[in-house]
Amino acid sequence: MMTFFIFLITLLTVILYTLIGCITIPLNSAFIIDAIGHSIIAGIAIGFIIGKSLDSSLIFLGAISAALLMNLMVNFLKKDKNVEYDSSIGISFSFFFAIGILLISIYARNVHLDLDMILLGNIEFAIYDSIKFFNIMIPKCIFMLIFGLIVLLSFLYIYWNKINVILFDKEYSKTRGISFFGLNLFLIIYNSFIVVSSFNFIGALILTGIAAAPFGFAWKNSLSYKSFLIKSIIYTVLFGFLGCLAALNLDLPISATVAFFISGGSILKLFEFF
Amino acid sequence: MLIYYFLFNLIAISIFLGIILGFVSSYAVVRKWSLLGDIISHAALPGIVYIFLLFKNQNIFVMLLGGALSSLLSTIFSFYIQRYKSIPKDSAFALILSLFFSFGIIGMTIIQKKGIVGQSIINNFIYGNIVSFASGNVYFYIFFSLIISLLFYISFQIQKCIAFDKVFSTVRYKNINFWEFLLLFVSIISIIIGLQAVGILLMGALIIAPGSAARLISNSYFKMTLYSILITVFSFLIGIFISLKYSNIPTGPVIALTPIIIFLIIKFFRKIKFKNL
Repeated sequence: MMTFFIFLITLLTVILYTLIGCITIPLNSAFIIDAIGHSIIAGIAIGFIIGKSLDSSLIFLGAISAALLMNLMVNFLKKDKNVEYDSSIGISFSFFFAIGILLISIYARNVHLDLDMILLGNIEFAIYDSIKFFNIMIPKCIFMLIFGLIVLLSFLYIYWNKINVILFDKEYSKTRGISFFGLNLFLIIYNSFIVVSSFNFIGALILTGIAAAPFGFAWKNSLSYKSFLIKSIIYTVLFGFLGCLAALNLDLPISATVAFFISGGSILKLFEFF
Repeated sequence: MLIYYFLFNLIAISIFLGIILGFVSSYAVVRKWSLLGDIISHAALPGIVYIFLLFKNQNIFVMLLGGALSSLLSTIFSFYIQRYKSIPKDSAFALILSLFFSFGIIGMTIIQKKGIVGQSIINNFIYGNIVSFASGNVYFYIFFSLIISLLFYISFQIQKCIAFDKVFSTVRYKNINFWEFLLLFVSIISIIIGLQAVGILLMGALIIAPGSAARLISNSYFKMTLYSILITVFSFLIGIFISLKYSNIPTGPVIALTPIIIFLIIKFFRKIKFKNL
């Protein structure tokens, strides 16, 4: 049962992150996801210092406001023609990341909050945090992941046409009055929600690899956006399963192994090995 | 007496490191490679870790060599897939970064499970600890930095030419591909040397911020490089001073935060003061 839950949690997270990556890849902003994953650490640290516990909602609030501030800073900096878009992303996320590391190493030295935990997570501990449901002990994070998946899928279903227009024809979306702002805001809030609620079992680091992987898997050989989504989910779930199997058998960290397998598989597919 | 010797070593090393990292920073910002600093520093981890696992020695130069090799491999690989597989820059960098860094993390867990002596050296690389320089061979680092800064100084015209007019540079200089590769290699070496001071996770900030800040207040490439060197040296000195004064503040985040704050200050006050500098 334990192994089954580990597989279930990992694969649900992989599906979620793949869907987020599929939305951000046509926007050419794969690094924004990485930046959100890093900058959240400042919010978590400040929320922890004020609330003095890891379960408080202040952590959640702090993380979302850190992600929003980071995005505002990127948008403010990239207006200057002397600052590159890449540089504006790099400067703003490392500003928040450095503040987070500084605060954690000053105020949270002896607490169960260190950088390894935020970046890598520990899935073995999260399994014991469970509630009873029809006589079976089910970990809390599974409910959270299923809720997140339902929200994302219904968002995609309701705004499917509008999202397609925004992703592939920006000029046309401007003339039709479909705003890019709403999608961007949803992505920021949703990303920070997912990262904050999953950082203690899967880590923030794995996000970068999975979010960029669909490009290698399915960008070249799919004809429509729908088939791109389906193909990339199939490939990432396959490689995530293999990575999870390898991690459990060889006693390696699960998040790092899954990220290694998925990004490696994406590069192999890019060079047409299979 | 010992403490003065120690402090002297630290200040000397930080000045020389600041000079070479300032050169790298301005070159990287002009070449639009600013995120490459992040990739290079993250991709050094598997080289360092697996060299340590393989030879089990704590010689720091061997580990630095391993880190440089794996960073070079990752950089060449990311440029290759950008050019021949037509991946956009962002996605290629993100893929390569996660591939190399997760491979390094797997190696780190193996080291922790086996309990090999001397893991703290690898932690120095990840979180950064400038004090680790003081016990090492100071003259070696100074010698290396002198060679690297001399190379950057000699190739100054070529850097300018490559960065601002790529087509003209291929006409003007005979072996431009060699020079481009040499500059990339030298940048990687200097970033790897700097890793011990700032750490893998925050090295990217030290490559992006000084160059971008210098770009805002300068109107020529020479002035930009000069300001970027000044900002980098200043932030190293601030980091050393603060972590010597308050013992519970780590050096790495302070060194990375200082140029970003300088950048933000310049950004806000530029229109008032620095317009005609």
